[in-house]
Amino acid sequence: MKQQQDEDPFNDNTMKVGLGKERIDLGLISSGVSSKHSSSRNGSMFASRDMSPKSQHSLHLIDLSSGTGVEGNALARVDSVKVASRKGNSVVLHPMTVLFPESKVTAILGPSGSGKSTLLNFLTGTIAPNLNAEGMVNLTGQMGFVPQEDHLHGFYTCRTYIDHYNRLAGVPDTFSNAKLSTDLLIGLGMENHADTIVGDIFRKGLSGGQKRRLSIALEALSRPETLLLDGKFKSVNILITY
Amino acid sequence: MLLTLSIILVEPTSGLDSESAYHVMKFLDEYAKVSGRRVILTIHQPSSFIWQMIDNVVLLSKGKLMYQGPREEIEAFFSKHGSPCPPEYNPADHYVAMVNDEFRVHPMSVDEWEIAFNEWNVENLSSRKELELVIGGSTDLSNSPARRLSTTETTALPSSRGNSYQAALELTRRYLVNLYRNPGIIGTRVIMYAMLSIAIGTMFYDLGGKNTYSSIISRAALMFYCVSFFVFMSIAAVPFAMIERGIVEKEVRNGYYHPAIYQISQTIASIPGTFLLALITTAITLSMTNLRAPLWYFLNIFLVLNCAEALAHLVSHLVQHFVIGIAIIAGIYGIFMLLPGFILVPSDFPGWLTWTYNIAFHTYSWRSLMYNEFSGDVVFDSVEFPTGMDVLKFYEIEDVNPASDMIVLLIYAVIINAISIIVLFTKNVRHKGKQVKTGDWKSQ
Repeated sequence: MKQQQDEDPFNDNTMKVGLGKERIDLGLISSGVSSKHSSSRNGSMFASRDMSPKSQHSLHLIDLSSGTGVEGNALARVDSVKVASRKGNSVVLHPMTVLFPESKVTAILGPSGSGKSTLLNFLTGTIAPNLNAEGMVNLTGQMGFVPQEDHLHGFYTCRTYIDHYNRLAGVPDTFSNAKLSTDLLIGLGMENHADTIVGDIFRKGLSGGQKRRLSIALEALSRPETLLLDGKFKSVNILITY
Repeated sequence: MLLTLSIILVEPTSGLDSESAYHVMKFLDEYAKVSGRRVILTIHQPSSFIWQMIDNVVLLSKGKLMYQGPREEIEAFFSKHGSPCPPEYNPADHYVAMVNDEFRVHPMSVDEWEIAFNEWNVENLSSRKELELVIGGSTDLSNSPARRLSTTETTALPSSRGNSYQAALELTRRYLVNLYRNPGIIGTRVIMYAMLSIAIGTMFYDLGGKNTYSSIISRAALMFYCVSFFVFMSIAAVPFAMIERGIVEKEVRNGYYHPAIYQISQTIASIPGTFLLALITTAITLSMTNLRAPLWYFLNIFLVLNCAEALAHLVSHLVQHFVIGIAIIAGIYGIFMLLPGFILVPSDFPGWLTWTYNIAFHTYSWRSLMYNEFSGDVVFDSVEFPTGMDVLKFYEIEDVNPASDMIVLLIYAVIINAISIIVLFTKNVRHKGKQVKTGDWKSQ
């Protein structure tokens, strides 16, 4: 039971073992707390964001790029993804055509092992060595993929890391780009940690969540047409704590 | 269930996480909406709060498509099939649970949901063309709207990727900073090499001033020890090369640079480290032992350490975990230490194994160290080895040319690095290829 919770506390495994009533009770508790807290938080958060002078910075993202964009849907047509060397139940993804509309946040959802990450890897053309994939992907433009684990150097601070990525991606050193870098940090709530090092086994630095946000900021920096994030919210208790 | 509750209650930090999760979602929403781009993410369990910030949903189960489309319409789909979300539930949890048939407690199986969604598509997709795309997965795409999709409008705010030269420069710079700032890469090794050198210097103090028979044996053993263990200790580079690999794979995947660029940068950036290590060991060891030809010694150790570094990089490209990498390199060095002709002179090698003498880079390093120590007018107070040349003859290395051996070491390192680049090239091509065709639909 304990192991199951670690993965999927709200999955229907409780119903399977005949604890349907408890499940509903818990659901009531959790979402009751959830809606109450979320609405109050929501309100205050918007208020604080709107009132703070910093929130105006994040608008520059809008100013710089209004009216532009990639037209149409991105599209992935999976013919099959199979485990290369196994007989039997080896199909990871069945045939499907999935559209990813522009200007939209698309979430790939499903139970554990349903193929979420595989579909994402299919999109990026990075199929694990033990899989055979067939199909087509039409994902125009540059992509920024944020993997499940944060692969970061420990010695950079958020700000120096951003400078490094700007140079690596060949982002021209202009005023508006510098502004965007700052806006990214602010937009992701990292402005107070701009000079904190990422940290490694030797030195303490950013927390796990902060590293996550830095990873996102680094990919967003070069403004890829498609931003892909794998397993962004790991916290299983996210629902209950609201 | 009590267990669940208690676990939840002792998790006070989750609140923070969800707040930052909200901010991240808000940011992503802005990113997608504002710049006409798209954000695609996998979520294990979105809170009902975050659920509201998702525009489009792709619901999978057992590798099959259960639903795709606007978030606002998913409830209509599930209601139609008798599974509306109860008002007090988190919708995302509800839908994910409904399509999970591993526990066989829900009215519909995964296959049934798949059929239901196909029917739903036929009824609901307004655009005929879109429908063709989604339903007829195998239809000829050359006449479909996908054709239109391949024409990307140039954006006023283009995404950016640098050129190879820029990337190589920036990567070299990063490795150099890493070398300096990350104590694990060079700091601990400087201490290890210095300590080992002091230990050697103490044990073999003023060995160069002695001319006894035993001092000859000590010299040969010392040279062997220096080469073997200074090389062996470069194993410490493997874990950090592996950490580096995770970072590099992410960056290569995102198209910042080609992996070969990374290998070149890493090679260049590792030179100051090996230079420093060779300098420290030479300064300490030779000043304490008074052995001959310190410049040759330095050059020799420097070049052999570059070979070791290159091998550590190569292995780190090939293995999945650094523990395996360390085991493999330890194994390789175990074999290489057998081969330089110190433990067994070349003519005593089994006939069919004589070629192995030339395999290990240890061979070139050790015999050059020996040659520089024993060649010239060196005399000993020994019947077996009255001159240095007799020692070299015993080990069958009297014809060695240290200069050409140094060139061999240099080429050895270059070849290992070249193999690394080839490995990275093939890995990259294989990754990218994998039967998933990308880009222009017209050409398919």
